[in-house]
Amino acid sequence: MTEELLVKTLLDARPRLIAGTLAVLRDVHQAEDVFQEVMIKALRMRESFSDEAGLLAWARVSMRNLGIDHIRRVGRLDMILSEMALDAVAQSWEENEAASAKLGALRDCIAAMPQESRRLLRLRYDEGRSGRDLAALLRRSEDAVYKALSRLHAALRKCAEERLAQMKEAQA
Amino acid sequence: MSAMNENIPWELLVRYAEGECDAQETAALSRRIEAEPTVAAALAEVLLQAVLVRDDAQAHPEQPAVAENKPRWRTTVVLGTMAAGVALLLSLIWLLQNGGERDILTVTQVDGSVRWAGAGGEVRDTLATGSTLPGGSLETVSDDATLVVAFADGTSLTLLGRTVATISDEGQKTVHLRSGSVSADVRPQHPQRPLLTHTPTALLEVLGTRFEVDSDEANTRLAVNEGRVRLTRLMDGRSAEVPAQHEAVASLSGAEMPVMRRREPEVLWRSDFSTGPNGTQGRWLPAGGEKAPRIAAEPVFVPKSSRGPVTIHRVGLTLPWQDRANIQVRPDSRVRLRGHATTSATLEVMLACMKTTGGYAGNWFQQRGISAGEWQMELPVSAFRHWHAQAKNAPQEPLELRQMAIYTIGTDAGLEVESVEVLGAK
Repeated sequence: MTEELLVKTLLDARPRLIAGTLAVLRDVHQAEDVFQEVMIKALRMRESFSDEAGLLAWARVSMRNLGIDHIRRVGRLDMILSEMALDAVAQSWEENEAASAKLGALRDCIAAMPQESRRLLRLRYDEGRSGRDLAALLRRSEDAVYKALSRLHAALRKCAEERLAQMKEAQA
Repeated sequence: MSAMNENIPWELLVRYAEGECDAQETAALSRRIEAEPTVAAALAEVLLQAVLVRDDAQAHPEQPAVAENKPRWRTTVVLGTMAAGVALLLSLIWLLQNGGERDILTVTQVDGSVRWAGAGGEVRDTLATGSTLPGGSLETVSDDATLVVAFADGTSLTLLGRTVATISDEGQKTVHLRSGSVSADVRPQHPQRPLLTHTPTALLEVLGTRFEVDSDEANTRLAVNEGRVRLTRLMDGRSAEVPAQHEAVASLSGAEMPVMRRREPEVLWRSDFSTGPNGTQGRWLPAGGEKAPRIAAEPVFVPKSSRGPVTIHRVGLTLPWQDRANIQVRPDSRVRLRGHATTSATLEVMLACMKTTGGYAGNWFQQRGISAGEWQMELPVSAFRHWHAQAKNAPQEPLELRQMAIYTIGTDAGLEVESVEVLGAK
């Protein structure tokens, strides 16, 4: 596989690969680090990949294993989902035929969010602040913070679904 | 169907994504995800959204709130766009060429002689503000040296005086403090990955707080300004939670390890060299003849100073080791010194100060001539100058005196210091 194709394949799948590792690590920054590590490994092993599907399957397994290794070193394995549950989560990405369209729709929805909502999500996922930390920062209860985050996730999903439906209608 | 009407446990999913679910909740969630594809899809959605929010923040930063200086390799890796792809490829090539080492620290302030040594044997004696560093050993090699470094999340470490620390971040920030003093301002860490500070005698676990730690081969002193730090003595595994405005010492003596409230700031203080060299640098001399117990200067080579490479003959004091002293110097305070010399010379005195709220304030200098024989001097704090003795700025607010150095530059004047006092306004 050429270097260009390898990089393009992994970059296209990057959000899903990182999200899959996030299911284990629960830390976006660390999941990004794992993606980096796997990307470097993949470049070194470039000759051994014959097609994109094989590369992605290898990357998924490698990233999950690296995540589990990390948890084994610093955390507790019983605090992460079972293998079967992790597979089920990964499966839901694989089954989504319009994956790239959905990514685009989600990105548009995030960009269109009210500033305060986007700020809350950024504090949580970009700055890595915990619910407890956010509660202190925003002078709200932890429950209120988790409720607000939950509503935002559900709203983003709804927004993306509506955008996709509109796109389909427009195409039809 | 509306996403909220599918009986999706969104809050549980959000808490799982944060690592806040305990083993029981996680097991229950696993069973539910295995049985209900809609719940699996919802968690996939939460995780994907988290990644995209992070990407959006990296691509369109609003303001550098917490993470002001992201390491280069991390900031380049954004987003499935072509531009980011090119940047990532370049970054990967750079990483490959550099053996995979990545920068984890940004230098935010540097003064005096400092040194960085990397895992591959690379050594840098010149560190510029704004430069980034991989993990490795950091050393401040002179009394007036200060090095402030920041992790990407805004956690900052200040190395003061003569300090050697090895710093890494493999998903968990770790500091190995071999000797010296570190002041830390730690942003909230993941509950399962506290910042760890290892010293020769103790382990500190920090989730987010401000604290100061001093260490030598036999003792670790921890003073907490904000938050809470767990201190574990390595010798016997005894541990204690040290809350804000408290301190504790883990020593090899095997003595109790009480957590004590920090002493109220003292504006009047006098050294006590009668019981030994506690917290001093130099050669301790017991009382003899007509002389009181005292500290004799020892030569120290300073490779980088405002005067170029020099040898100084110095007496040093790390104040907290002197009976837990918490000394406040005010703009109208005075410092009185008494001692002996064998020849006349110019004496320089340095005060290394912390802010009273925690965090590094700066070093302050003043020079005076001394004659052979006994000497005594009284130095107004208002005549101390920031960074070097010829600068303009004097202390403008009360400061906590952390370290003091008394030395001659170039000349070995047989300097001995018998007492140090901090006095109030005249």
